[in-house]
Amino acid sequence: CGFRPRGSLEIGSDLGPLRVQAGDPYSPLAQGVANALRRAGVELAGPGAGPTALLRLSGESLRTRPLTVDRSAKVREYETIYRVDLELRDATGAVRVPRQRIEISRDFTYDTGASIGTPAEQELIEDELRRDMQAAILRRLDAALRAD
Amino acid sequence: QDAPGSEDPLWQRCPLPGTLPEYRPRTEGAAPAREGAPTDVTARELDLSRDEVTVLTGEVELSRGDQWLGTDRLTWEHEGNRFHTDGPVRYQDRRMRFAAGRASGDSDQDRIELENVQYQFNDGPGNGRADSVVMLGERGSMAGATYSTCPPGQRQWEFSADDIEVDGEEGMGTARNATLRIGKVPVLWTPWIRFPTDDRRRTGLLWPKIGYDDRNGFDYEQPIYLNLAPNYDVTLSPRWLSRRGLMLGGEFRYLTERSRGEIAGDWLPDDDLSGRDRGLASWRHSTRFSRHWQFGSLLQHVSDRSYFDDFGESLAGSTITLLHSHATLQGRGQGWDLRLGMRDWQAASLAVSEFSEPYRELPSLQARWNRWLAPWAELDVRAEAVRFSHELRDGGDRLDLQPSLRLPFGGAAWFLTPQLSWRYTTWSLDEGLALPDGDTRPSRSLPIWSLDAGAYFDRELTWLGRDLLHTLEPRLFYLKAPYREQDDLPLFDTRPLTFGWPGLFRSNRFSGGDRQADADQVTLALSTRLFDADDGRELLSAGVGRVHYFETPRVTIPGAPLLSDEGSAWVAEASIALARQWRLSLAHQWEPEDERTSLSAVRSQWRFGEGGLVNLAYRYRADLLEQGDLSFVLPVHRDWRLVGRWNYSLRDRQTLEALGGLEWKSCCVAVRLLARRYVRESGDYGSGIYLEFELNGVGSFGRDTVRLLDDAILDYSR
Amino acid sequence: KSSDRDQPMDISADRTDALLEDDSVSTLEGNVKIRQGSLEVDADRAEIHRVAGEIRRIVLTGSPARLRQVSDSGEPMDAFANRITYTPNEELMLLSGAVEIRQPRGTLRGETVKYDINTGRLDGGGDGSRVSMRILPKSASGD
Repeated sequence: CGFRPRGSLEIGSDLGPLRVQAGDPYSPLAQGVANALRRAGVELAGPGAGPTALLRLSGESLRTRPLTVDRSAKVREYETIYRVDLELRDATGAVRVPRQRIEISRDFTYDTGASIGTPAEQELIEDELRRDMQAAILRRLDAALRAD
Repeated sequence: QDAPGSEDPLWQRCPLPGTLPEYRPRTEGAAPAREGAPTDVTARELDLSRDEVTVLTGEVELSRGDQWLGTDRLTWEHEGNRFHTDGPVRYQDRRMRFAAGRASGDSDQDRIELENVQYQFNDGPGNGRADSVVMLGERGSMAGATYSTCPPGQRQWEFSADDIEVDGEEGMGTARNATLRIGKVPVLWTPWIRFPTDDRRRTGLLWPKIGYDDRNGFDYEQPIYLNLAPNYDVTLSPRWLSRRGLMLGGEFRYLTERSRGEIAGDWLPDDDLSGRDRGLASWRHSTRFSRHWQFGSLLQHVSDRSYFDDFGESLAGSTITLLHSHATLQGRGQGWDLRLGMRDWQAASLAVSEFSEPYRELPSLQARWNRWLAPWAELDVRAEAVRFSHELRDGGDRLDLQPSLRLPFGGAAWFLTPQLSWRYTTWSLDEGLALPDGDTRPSRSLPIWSLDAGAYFDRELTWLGRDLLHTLEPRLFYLKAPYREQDDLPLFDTRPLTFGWPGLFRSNRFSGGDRQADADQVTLALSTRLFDADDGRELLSAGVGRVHYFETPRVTIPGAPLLSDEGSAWVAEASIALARQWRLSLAHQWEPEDERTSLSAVRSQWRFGEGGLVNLAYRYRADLLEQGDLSFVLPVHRDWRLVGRWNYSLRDRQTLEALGGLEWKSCCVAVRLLARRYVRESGDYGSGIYLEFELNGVGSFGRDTVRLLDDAILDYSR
Repeated sequence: KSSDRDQPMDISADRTDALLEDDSVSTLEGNVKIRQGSLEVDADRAEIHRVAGEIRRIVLTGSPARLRQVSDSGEPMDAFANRITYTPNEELMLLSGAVEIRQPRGTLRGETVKYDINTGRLDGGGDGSRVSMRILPKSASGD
């Protein structure tokens, strides 16, 4: 049915050195994506390397909100939503991957009578969402740049 | 709480009938200074016959620095550099522009007097009329004046006042003896009111919030914003609740070169209904020391456990159950990560007994270090040392070490990652938690094997005229961990993790460190994704998977869900967004052995027209809940919008929250009327009516409905 | 000054074709100077049109031609233009071409400017072009 093994990741091919920029300069997501790109063979631009290709991650927001409430106003499920806007421009500033929003969410149950352990679950979910977001960003870059 | 006047994109699309045109294109960047600048006049005719007087006639234009004046006849007295015009005059400077019947002025003192004036601000919609205006440098005082941000042709609201002082430097207007009219109806009289003429942060009276609900009765809150300095400000909000008394809210925000923070609190002394003092306090602070080190803290305390039920503004607000506080010093660098700090939780709802409050973790140290020994070998060490304490329960210390070696082999189309880790955990417990044999220093040690393997297949296809990339990703995850007896170990921060897609690939079924699940199982999962090849957007992603147990896991804790012998539930998830306007997400879990559905969830969102939005969701979780949730924003007409939410519990056959609202929004005023009925902890219903006027550029007046709608309707304000 | 009109007018130049008959146009060239009371005009070239022995029009051109006069109140005026046409009977000076008139009250510029010597009135010359003046603030108007 036409499926064949994926070719090598094409992100680095004609873009030249790439810089990953996020709202918070020390955001773990930006460093995670940068490391993943380096391991995928993409050359990362050093600081102050003049105009380079720029992967901009903006509008990063991680929010946990009640998902469902029962009839005595007790929260039964929480939802953690992780959102990032992604845009890739090449060294000349031309848009290679247009600005788009990636949003992934996970829900987890909550029992008001047994609150112990819920904060640890929320923290685990946040770490997993960061890892999933990193993979989602790489997949989108690959899908968009491969077809050029 | 942003100061009023933050630009809402909706206001910009307003036609501006009748506003004064820009007489002269304004200079970009800093306007030329006036002091010492010569005055250039041009006209058709100049009469210099009289001593020290020049009379200009015919399309007279006068300009100096950023000031420009146009009229038909102007007399200039050189002796004092004074001038006056006889007929109608147009005047513009960098902040405002005027049309007046007459004008006179003194250019050396930078003073201009205008009569019978219509004015318009350059930056912002503010405009109005005045009997007379005296402009002295950056300050202007208007007598018998009106002010509004509605275009002159559509006067939906307007201030009229004896005088309005405008300070261009500060961007503020102050009106004395002012009457606010909505349409023709006088709505508010105030002896003194300050309002922003552009959107810089400033001191000023924010608009009152008015509402009624059956918990607190009539509710009138009057925030006052004090812009004490460029880097710190205070908002005080005295609030009167008819059934409870006087309450004071306050928020102090500060910003320094390395730090920023907010101290916020609400204080209601001697609440009439409960007869005791009520309050909530929070302090958020963050400091960045260097590229690698930063400190962040959020300390919160609430006076009693029914506070949020009484004062929470939305369902999300009134159902807060745990108030989380933490103070953390965090270090992060290439290959290492360290967090040292404190975490604490306070029960904030009657449903959470103080006994079931999570343990305080003070101190809590978490460290992670990893190093690539080779391109295919990564060493990773995680360590955690925490002292758990609790008012009503015995505590203890716990040290948890987990070194692991990962060998990520693979290429673009496949990956094979064996991982061996060793988990060593030791506790030092208070007497009350000692094990049956009296041991207060138990420990647990075990190896954990895992093998994560997968492949990527893809194909390019065109469908409906679009180039797409379709991927197929099978994945296998084998996990082996020997059984260790842990039933007598304490439970400080552990509970069973909610099973779902991530649960297929986790190395532990429990959160925290008090339990490490035994496992001899393999997960088989298949994912498929559809990408738009042009911009890489993910149009569809779907996955199905299940864990097969070679041996049924034995480690459990009281209250944990029973596991079937043969394997976990089937998990299927999909999210579909073929077009930008709508997206659909589905999740389903089916337990083959008991032949029952343990989870079924559908959530769809449709966006249309000018900000139209409909969310429809169904959620079923076995033995827990079954609910439907419909929320919408319907633009009914250019200015009218209907908003609503209906959250209905099918299991209890009752409504959880019903909310309806009408919003009328014109160029310069928005009126929102909202009615709401929602469940309360006591099981009966609370209801509230909220009215809000938002005057564009001057702030909103009445209950802050936007925050409430944000919680009730997903993506309301996006 | 208005009294200038009664003063004798003497005209001098390097070269002249000395046609002094009653109906003639005589041309003077090379630092032409006209003096009449406080009125002083300097130009490169001048044409003097006489009708029936009376000077009807003097057309002076220069790069630029220059005209100085002091008003009755003692306010000096210093004017430059590519071309100045002086008609004594109407007591009118028509300045045209990069006109610049400097006075203590300010410096005036335009393309064509009518200057009524008697009343001191300056008009924008009525051909659609405008007159402009730069007025210096009190503190800096020493020049």
